[in-house]
Amino acid sequence: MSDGLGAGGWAKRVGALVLTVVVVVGIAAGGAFVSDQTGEDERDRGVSMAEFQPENVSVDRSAAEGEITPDRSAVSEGGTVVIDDSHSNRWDRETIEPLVRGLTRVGYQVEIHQSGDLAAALDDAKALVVIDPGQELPSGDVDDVRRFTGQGGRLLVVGEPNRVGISASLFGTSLTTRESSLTTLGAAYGASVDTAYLRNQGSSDINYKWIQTQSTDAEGLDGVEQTSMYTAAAVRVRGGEPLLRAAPETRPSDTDDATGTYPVAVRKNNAVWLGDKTFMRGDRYRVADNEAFLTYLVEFLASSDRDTSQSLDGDSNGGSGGQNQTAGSTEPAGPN
Amino acid sequence: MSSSIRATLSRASRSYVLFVAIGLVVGLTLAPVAFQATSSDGTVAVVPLSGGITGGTSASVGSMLEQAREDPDIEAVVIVSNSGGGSASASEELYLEAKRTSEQMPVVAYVDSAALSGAYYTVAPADTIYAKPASLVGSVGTLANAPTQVEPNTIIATTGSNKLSGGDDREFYTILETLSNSFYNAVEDGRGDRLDISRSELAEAKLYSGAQAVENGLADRIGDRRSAVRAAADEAGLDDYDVKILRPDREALFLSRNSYLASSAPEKRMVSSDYFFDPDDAAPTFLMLPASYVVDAETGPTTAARNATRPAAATREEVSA
Repeated sequence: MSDGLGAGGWAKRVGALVLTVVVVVGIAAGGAFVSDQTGEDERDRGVSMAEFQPENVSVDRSAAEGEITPDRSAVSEGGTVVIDDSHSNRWDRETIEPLVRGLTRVGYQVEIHQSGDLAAALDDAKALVVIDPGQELPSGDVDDVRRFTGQGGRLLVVGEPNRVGISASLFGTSLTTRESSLTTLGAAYGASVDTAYLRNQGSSDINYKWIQTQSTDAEGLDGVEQTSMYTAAAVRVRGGEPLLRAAPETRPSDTDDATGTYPVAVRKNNAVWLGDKTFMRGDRYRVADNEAFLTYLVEFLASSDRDTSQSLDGDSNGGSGGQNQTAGSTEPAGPN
Repeated sequence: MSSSIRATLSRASRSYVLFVAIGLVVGLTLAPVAFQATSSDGTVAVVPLSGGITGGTSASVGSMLEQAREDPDIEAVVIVSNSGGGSASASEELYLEAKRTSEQMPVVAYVDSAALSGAYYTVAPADTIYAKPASLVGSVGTLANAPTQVEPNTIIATTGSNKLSGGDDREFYTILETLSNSFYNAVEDGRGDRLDISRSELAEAKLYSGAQAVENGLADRIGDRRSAVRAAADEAGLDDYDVKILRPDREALFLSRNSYLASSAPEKRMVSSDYFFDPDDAAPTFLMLPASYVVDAETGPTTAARNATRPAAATREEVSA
């Protein structure tokens, strides 16, 4: 068979053989690659993302609408409400503005007591509001408040759980714990505000620290069904009537076990105790039925039957004796 | 007759037809071998997930998972986690890569030091999750620095009331919860009936030891890396298998010394929490990390970042609602 074929002829033919093998094998390998690529495309199309779809990740949040609408017929004729600012109280204008607006709407004045004799400031007042004091009230002030409520004056005490704040200064930053200093005042009324905040992963307004609360059957809570509190503490008052309770399965921040419907607003006679100040803030008071509960508080503060012609000492009224700022008017404000 | 045959063979040998025919026979004989060589079975790929999750980590690990999917020799994947999570966006990306892989082949996860938050997100689609007693599992949730509430002023003009702030804090928390809901859904989707804690408990974002995680269904079994590889091979139906350890193409950046020490990553480095989180950023940074990774217990979030950017004489206090 070698006749007629030179070395070059054989080389060409062997080359053709090798080329044929390479082409066939290459097609096979390429086919496998292409089939893999095709499979990948199909798999990409097949990845389900149902867990990411908007309808499956949306967040229920309470509507923020409504306004404080106190009933003038439900309150006593004008007077003064004193807001304490003499015990390192931690509130700002945004915190009290909706409350003040509600009070002025029913013809009440608001005085800010910044220093001096508390008794003198309360002499001509119908109600006192104490919000998150940073210092304990001295025994003399506690006695004055006791006499004040004993004469029919209304008292609203707003506490907070212990809060951790970030302080920044020349020397850097640090974490500081803030406590509502309500031990002495609370003891005089059999009341206490817990140091732990309440949390509820299931029944909340967006965030677990923003708990939902439900109204009780207490009188005067018409229109209040569900409110939202923002980092609230449980409040306990001996002999008191809870106004608002946290939703079931709420827990204090310091335990995983003690679930319950903790009271966050309690009334006993002329005093109401609250475990959160943020709910009344300008950007929160409309959430859920917060505005209806704030309406309740306005009517509560403006319903005192205290005779302001008598001083706390039983004498006839004198001057204020302290440094107070006045807001509002005895004239009813406009609708807004 | 004989001369006729010889003549025919001679003509055939002179033409190319005979050689092409032989080539076809040989080629077709080798073709199945070649096909098998490019889509062979019998290999379990080990994909490391090391350090804080960033876009770089996502690209690197995602590339390894893609390589595993495309390599016909690889029949199963083991993800080895030494990570506490990281960027929410990058974690979501990794979750989808892992899920995509698990739909093609068995994926087994092995929690070495930690699979927390975004790292747990990544391994959630695994068919089986192994952990050790010292492994840390969980922290399912999202954190972010709350955006500074500002309003349009004389320096910056905007066309919309929320152009500067992005929205009020209720809206911001809604975004945060939406991200977390996706995370919870992914965990529930991946773990299914094996999950023995409620969504509320899951959302508590607790850390669990490996043993606790097996009890509550965040993990399946106690075991080591070999256990995980063996399980992956079993799930792929491989009696005899090779193990191919894929290597990341970049340095692993660790926030946790616990994971740093445990990791066998060839290139690794500890980084400051500032790398991931600066509370002074006006825009939120969404992270899937345990908060303890970026918050100092004594001084608050990222002290160095705060000191570096605060006016020296400023004194202020902040407490969120």
